[in-house]
Amino acid sequence: MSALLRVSGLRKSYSRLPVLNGVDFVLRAGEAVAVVGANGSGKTTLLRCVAGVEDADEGLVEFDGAPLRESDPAVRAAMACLLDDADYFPDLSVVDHLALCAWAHGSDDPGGLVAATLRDLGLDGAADQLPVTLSSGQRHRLGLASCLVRPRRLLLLDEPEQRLDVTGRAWLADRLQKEKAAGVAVLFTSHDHELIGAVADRTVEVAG
Amino acid sequence: MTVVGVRPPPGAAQLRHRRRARRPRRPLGFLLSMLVERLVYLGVFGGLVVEVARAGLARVDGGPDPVAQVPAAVLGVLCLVLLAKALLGFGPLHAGSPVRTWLLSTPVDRGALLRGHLAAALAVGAGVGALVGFGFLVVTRSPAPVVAWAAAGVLLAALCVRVQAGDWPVAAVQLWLSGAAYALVAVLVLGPDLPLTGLGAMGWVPFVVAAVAAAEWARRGLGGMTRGRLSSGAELATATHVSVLSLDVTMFWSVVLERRARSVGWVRPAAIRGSRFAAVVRSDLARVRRMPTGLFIWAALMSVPYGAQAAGLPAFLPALHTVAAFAAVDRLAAGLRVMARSPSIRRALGGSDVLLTLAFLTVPAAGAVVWSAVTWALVPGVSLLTAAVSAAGALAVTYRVATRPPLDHSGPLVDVGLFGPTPVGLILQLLRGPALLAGLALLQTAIAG
Repeated sequence: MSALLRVSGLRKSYSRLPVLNGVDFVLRAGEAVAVVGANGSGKTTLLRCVAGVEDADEGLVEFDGAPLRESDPAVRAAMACLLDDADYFPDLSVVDHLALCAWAHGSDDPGGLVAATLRDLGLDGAADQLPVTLSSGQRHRLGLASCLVRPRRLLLLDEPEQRLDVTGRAWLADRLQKEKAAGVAVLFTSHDHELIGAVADRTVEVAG
Repeated sequence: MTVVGVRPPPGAAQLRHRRRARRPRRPLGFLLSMLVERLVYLGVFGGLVVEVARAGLARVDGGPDPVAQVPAAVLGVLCLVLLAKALLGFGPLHAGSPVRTWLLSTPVDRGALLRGHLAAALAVGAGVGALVGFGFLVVTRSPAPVVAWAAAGVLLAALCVRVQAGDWPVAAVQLWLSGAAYALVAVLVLGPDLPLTGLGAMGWVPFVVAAVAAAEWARRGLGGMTRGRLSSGAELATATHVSVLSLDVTMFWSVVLERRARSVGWVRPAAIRGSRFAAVVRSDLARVRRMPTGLFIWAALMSVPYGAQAAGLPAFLPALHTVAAFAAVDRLAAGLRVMARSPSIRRALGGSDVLLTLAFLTVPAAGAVVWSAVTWALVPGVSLLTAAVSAAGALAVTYRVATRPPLDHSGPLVDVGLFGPTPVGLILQLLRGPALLAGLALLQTAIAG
């Protein structure tokens, strides 16, 4: 199977502090790769470079055989991201955000999909709340939900297990396995060995 | 185990003295240069204020203008209501986290610690009140007591302190004040023929007595001020401070929007459906409906060209029309601003940046067209060309301002006087939008002339 995402020779440094020292990996449809490493080792930076949010100093990120451009509508349609820069409209409720996302991406049965995702993530009780009134855990779940109410071929998740309780983590592992089974490629960073063990086919270690 | 001995806590004055004593001493040369610099600024701005005051007082010699008295009085009261709203937004007393953590957590008399804060809040009230009073004096050319307006400002500030201390719920008082502001604007627009009697020679005395009594009442309430209540406005105060220092109002407006959203809490689901474009437009409309203040300001600004026409300023009318149109349309562009500064939202919504920008410009564009059409139809001096240029120009300036990239404070510096050495790039970034607006205002004046 051909690579959906190919990362080659990726280097990045902040001032003179090297963060990524030539990262290479390939991700195919239906596969999951976990990026692991200590705090400050560059996991989030790698994901941000892959998502096109940050420019790498050297190296290439290819999506579907072409250099990845974040502003390309085809890339945006295929790639669902939960990074550390998640933002919300302060005056749209939880359900409004998800409905907007689902309709904007032309999801099938947006209403049903949004309702099911709210239920899955335990957000149905907070559906009408504005984002500023949510707890940090609920906001994180909203970010996850926004990735799940839209069609996707690649999921980029930065520490998706953060702020989830034990039940939530088990649900996440199950959900990511289903994503793989549906042919979605998953690239995620994590410190949770159980989640990595349950979901990842390979790991990429970054050492900063 | 370390045993901590207990002795009576120091007084507030002792604590203040101790804090000052621990501050690093600055060289005499530095202090003198700072003093000279401040005296220069004081001289320049003081001179400007004196000139404006003289010019205003010269108008008073022309005799009272009874026609302007009622609108000016209503506008003055509206200014005081808005002052109370702003004071409650900032606290009015607020303490930053170092003071909250290191001073207010001690058993030191909190009332004594906060006396300086109270004096500052009352001074703000007195200053704004006096300014309003002076404006009233200039506009109506009637010998109205500025002291009474200043005392009213003090009274309001003191009452706001009692509200903060917990005598009344802040949210409810803010709601009443908003209601009062809307009612006053309605009175201004409808202009009913209200009787207005002068205060008389000693009419200011009751105001001053009430202000002094309220100030003392507020002072007594300081001891009961909790740390939570003192932190309520700290976030907004910090955002304001940072916004002023960095010349970027983005952070200030973000905090204002968040506070507003927090006070609303939850909303009914919006009818979002259709294509990407339609869904975005529907969500933008839902936002405008949920935060009606923007819509209200949009409508209220229609009175600006009308006021310019009524005040006999036809030469300035086209330029004012354009500036007011921008101010009105900009109130409808919150969605565009959020989308433009947030890559994660653009990623989540999908589609190209151009399509998203066009979708988020739809509501402001409709607002610009309706605003210009209504003012063209209702205000005699506004021509069709003026209205058309204003509609297109307001939308263009709104787009330029809303999509301004985050400010970059690096690069070569140039000394711009008041603000000291400022990066050239920063000046150019800040001019993105205002420069176009100024150009359009000049164009409008040229077309009309």
